[in-house]
Amino acid sequence: MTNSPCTPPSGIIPVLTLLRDHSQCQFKSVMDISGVDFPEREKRFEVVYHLLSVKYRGRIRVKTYAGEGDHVPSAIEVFESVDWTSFEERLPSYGEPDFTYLYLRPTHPHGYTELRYDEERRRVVYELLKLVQAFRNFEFLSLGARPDNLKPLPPPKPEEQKK
Amino acid sequence: MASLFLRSAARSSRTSTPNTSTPSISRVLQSTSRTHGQHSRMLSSTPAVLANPAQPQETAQTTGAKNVFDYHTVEDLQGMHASQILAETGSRADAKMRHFTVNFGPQHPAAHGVLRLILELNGEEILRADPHIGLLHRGTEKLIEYKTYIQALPYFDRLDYVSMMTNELCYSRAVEKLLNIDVPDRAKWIRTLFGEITRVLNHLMAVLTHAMDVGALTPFLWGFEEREKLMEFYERVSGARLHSAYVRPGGVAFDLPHGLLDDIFKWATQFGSRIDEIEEVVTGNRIWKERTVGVGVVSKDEALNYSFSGVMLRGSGVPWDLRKTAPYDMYDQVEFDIPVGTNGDCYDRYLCRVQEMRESLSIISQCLNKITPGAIKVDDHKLVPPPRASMKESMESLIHHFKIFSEGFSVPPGETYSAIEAPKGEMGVYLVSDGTNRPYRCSIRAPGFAHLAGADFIMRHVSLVFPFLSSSVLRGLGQVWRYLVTGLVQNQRVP
Repeated sequence: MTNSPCTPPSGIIPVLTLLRDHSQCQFKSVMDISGVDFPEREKRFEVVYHLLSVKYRGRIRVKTYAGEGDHVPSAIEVFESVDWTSFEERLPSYGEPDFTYLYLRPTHPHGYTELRYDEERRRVVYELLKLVQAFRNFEFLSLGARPDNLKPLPPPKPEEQKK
Repeated sequence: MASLFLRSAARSSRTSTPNTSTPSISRVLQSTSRTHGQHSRMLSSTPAVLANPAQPQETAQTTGAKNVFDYHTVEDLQGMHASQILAETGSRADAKMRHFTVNFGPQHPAAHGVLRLILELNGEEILRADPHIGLLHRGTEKLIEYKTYIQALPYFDRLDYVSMMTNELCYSRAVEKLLNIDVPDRAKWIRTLFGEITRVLNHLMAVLTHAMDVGALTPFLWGFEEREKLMEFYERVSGARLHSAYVRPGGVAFDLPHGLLDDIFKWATQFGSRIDEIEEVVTGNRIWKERTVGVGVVSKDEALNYSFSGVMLRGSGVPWDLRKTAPYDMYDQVEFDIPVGTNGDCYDRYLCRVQEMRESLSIISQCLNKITPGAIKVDDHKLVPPPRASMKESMESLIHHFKIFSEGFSVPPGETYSAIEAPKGEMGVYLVSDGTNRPYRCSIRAPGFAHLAGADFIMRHVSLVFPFLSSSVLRGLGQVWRYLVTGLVQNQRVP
């Protein structure tokens, strides 16, 4: 589990194909695809493929990266299950069949709309999402400090100079 | 029997459809009246065999480059070309005909959870099954990023409400791996014991709701009585019947209460005959066999390619069980067998599940015999809360307690993928830590997600008599409905 080779996005398909077909590897299934966001990096998204070799009882992580707006070639030609897993991670990839279709499904949440049944109009309506509770980010590491998202404190009054 | 007949009829028509016919489509379009007999829209038979890679090119030659369908059609065309489907043959009334599309769920009683399927039917034959995911997407992975490692744990109960402790175990093991700690033996025994209890809970649910949808209500009631007993054990050990939050990083939350092992032993001695009773009613049953044998077949390669795991993989003949291949906890100390199917159909998977229940039972008895006294969590009180009694006396314990439940503990930077054999398959957690007290990224691999992705290819050309059967097909697949739970990704949940 310690070895996780990284490849540039252009090399991901050959690498995955090699790992799948090489007689010493036989990584026949990709168990999951994860996307990790490192905003401070130039290529901020790290795409991780978790491969499993049933034959040799081995696992391997293959990593590639993508910047904002970049594309990672879809590995669907190598592994069938990539279709759904990559969709799930909202990977910026191309080449999947029906990819837009998966996205356009009305029941899949985009994070911006919610739907409910409207009594008056007698149909299901889409509305912008209303978050009842404000987003709270507790900073557990510095318990005494004020949370970032509160109103900033008023500047301290300048002390009167003593005579 | 009607279903059987229709199924065979559908099959025969499928096999007898000539693959060699179909001249160029342009000719079909030009001379619809002449070719009507031969190239009617194949409504009554499965058109998948018509897929011919040469056809679209011919169309491209005759009708210009990409036409409007190539750009805007997002539907699955069943292997036919769009112009083939849209060509009006026969009368106007015929042209208005189309396959019956049924919206199965999410509120359908046979959909149990929140599975929504769009089924395209030709009579009783499913031409296309389109699972719609995301109905209960709650953004669990994102929520976890804003919680401490301890606070993130209960989210894993909610991912799959019939295999709670295995989910917790998966996450706990990931955190322990990053912390580089080893839990005491007794904690491992307890985890193994309750892992197997969880497996029985899950398989009872899986097998018996499946049987119920086929029509066998009685074993379902018997099985649910057993589930009640098991959930009582859950309650006694953790205080909660379902969302136990019992297996925690560093061990388990509490020690076993007095007399619990005795009661588990009493339960285990009688449960074997309960399985016998269930099998007596179901296994040899003609109706049951008719509706499961040969239904939903998954080949070995398909199962691997679609990254199936658990029973879905073993049912297809791949001997793969993480408890054997990569033993965790005390699974290397107990003896058990891995049932493996041969045909990869619903019936084999059913048999695997029943046999796994028996193996779990044997593991439970071995745990009861071999369990050792001792600590149930690591003794580092920076990672696990100190005992209540010492908090009253020791200032240090009080500080530890306060720090753990407010700040949590920091985990050294690193990343890990921990996988365990959950009842439904491989449950995996990919955890990335940046050295703070909150996970930087927690990506969850729910077994059901992959299985649901395969739902379409498994369900095609399966005859369904009524929705119950369709859900049984699904369930036979591996409780796909629950998958909605486990996770269509991250975070589906049945309320």
